[in-house]
Amino acid sequence: MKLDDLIAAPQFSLSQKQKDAALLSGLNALTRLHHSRCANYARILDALGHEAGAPAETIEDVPFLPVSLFKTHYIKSVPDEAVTTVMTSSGTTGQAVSRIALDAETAALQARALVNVITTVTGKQRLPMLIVDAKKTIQDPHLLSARGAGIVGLMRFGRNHTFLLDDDMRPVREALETFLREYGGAPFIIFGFTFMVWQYLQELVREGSFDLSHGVLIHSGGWKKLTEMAVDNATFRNHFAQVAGLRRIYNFYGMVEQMGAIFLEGEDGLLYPPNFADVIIRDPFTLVPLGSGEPGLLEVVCLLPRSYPGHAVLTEDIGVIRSVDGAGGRRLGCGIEVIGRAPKSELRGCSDTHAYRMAQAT
Amino acid sequence: MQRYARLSDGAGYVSPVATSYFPTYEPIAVESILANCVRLAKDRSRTPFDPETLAFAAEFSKALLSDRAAARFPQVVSLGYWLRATAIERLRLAYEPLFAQADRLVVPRGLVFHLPPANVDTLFLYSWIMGMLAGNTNVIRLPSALNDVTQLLLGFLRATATPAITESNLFVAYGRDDVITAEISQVCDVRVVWGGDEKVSAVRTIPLPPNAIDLNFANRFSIAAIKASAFEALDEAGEHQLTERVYNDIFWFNQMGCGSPRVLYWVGEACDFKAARRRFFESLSAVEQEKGYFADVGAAVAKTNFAFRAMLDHNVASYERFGRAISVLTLAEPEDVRGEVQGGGLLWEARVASLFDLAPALQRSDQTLTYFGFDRAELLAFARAANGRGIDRIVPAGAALDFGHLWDGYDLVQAFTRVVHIA
Repeated sequence: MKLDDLIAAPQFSLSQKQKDAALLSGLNALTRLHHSRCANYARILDALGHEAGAPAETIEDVPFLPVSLFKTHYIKSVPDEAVTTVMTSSGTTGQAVSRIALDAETAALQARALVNVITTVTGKQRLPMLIVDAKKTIQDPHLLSARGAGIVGLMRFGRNHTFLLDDDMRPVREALETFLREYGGAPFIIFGFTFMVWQYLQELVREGSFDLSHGVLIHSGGWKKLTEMAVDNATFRNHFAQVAGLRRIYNFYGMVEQMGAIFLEGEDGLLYPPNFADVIIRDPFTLVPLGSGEPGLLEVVCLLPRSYPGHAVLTEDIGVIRSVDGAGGRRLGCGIEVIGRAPKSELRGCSDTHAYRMAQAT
Repeated sequence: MQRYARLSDGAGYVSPVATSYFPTYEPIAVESILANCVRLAKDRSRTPFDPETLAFAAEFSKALLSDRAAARFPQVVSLGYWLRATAIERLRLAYEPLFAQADRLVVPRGLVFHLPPANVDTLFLYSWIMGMLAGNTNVIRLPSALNDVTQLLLGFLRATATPAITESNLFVAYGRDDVITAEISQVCDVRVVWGGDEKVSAVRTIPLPPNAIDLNFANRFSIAAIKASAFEALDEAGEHQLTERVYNDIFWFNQMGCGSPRVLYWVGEACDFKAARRRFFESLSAVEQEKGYFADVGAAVAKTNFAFRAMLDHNVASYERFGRAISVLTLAEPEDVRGEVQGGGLLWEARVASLFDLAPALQRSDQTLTYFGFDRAELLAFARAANGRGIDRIVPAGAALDFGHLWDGYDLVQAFTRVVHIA
């Protein structure tokens, strides 16, 4: 299958076997493309001993780059004048951010891909959209982080956008009331970052005075803060179903290095890569691919990135494949769970005040 | 200077919390630390290699080597061996001719103020023992959080100390407080700072009395060299013995000790380099599996990230992983890879025709060369070629982390003593 067909076909419709076959030649073609157009990528492939142009025999053998490399090096496969957008990841002050060069072609591919994934849960029509964030998040260029970019990216799936928070990041009860009075009787979209949805939307609706049963909640951003509050996905879902009748809830996993290839939650609570992308779990120590049920570093392979060599990216997230070809659910392919971020390295030199860790006792 | 005078001002200063770990384990008032330091600075009752000090060292060594809890920690066992009576006697004998010269009398410097690093948990004791063997009184500033090994060692120390040791040494922790460091600095004769460049520079700004000296042990970089032909000649047992030693050099302190090699040089002209290195790293990896090196996921991720960055920032001909913990970045040509340091089993690798090829690029921060397959004449010639540019230790594979009285370019016994000229 060609990329266009993979994007256009109903998402999550390929069995793992079909998917492997469909992705491999495309990924190999991208390896060749980036090898010929990106000197940095070629340099790495040479050092890794990958023969230029030699196709990988399995998806696991496609050479990957660690996601951190996009934070320290600006790596792209198109000339400067072809770059239309440089996507940057969010990061707290002082942290390095990723810089991802998009040209018109890749940006268009990613946009089209995203549409075909999101509309599987929202339908083709644009629906009224409630955004659990403040308007300033997308207006102030200093704040246009991944969060802002994510909102802008998702906004085009909705209309009549309403922001739930004021510019001091406080939820506005009247905003919710007005939105629901106007649109609450028919399908609408709610979008926000996971922890903000829990913190702000949940706060307003927990007394049970709002009916969100026509809503489709799409959320992302990770569970770290919620895990600290002992809120897991099941608690999250049950709570919204009980207090507000909100049952269509879709978490997704995505990153600025793989725009368009978001992994959308299925009915079974697992995250599914779309037709044109897939996941590999690797042992953090050996980088050997692991099977179902074994947690490890999550690698995303994807056919979309043509302007930068990001078709195989090893993340620092720990994930696990929970099912293959829909154990119960309607979706095919891998169903994964993202467990969290790999911990930071604890090894310190003589200069550090951290207590050193015993290597071993022999 | 005003800032450092605060404690002596008296009125209005609230004493911060400090902890004494030796002679007693209890909270201690800052005033009491300083009063003790003043007392220790005046105490001149011991001589270098004092019999009572030697007797204590022997007892302490016995205690470390006979304890089951201590046996679990290789670095503690190695401290115990270093301190055993015969080893210390050998050290004493080595200095005897020097001390006995007719034109001089060797005396202690006085009060040594030790500021050991937080991460190498036995180093504070080595530093202290050298100060003590030279006949000094000592105050040791411990990090505010102590790990199990440090606690264990301090427990042994309290249990085995004789009255003379108790009277002449103080181990304290007082958190981040330059004021106290400044006050102690004002009364000490030697200040020994172990740590990173930043710590050394920061402490250096704190004044010392005009006749006191600083011994600074800053960040260091270390390398290893294997003569390829000697390695090729090894049988399986010899190869295993070598890689076991190299394993210790690299993995004991997660490759974060200053003496742990970061670059491995293969030295020699005609050899099947590819076959030799493969054999070496596979054997090293097998040892690593045997020993069950524990690495954390964060360190593994950091190592992968480092390797990929390195491929773009340096002329890396190949990047290969062996087993769970060993990553090797092979350089096309030797080049400067100091700077950002990655532990946990990351080695740079390069070929050179001769040891002499390494000498021109050495820098002051280069500390240890661990070697295999070279004879003494070759090593001496190399050290002369380097001639002080860098490299303060040239030790056989397996000894990278062994502490010695010759360290970082200092003879510590000499550094901790003064020479009275008697004509």
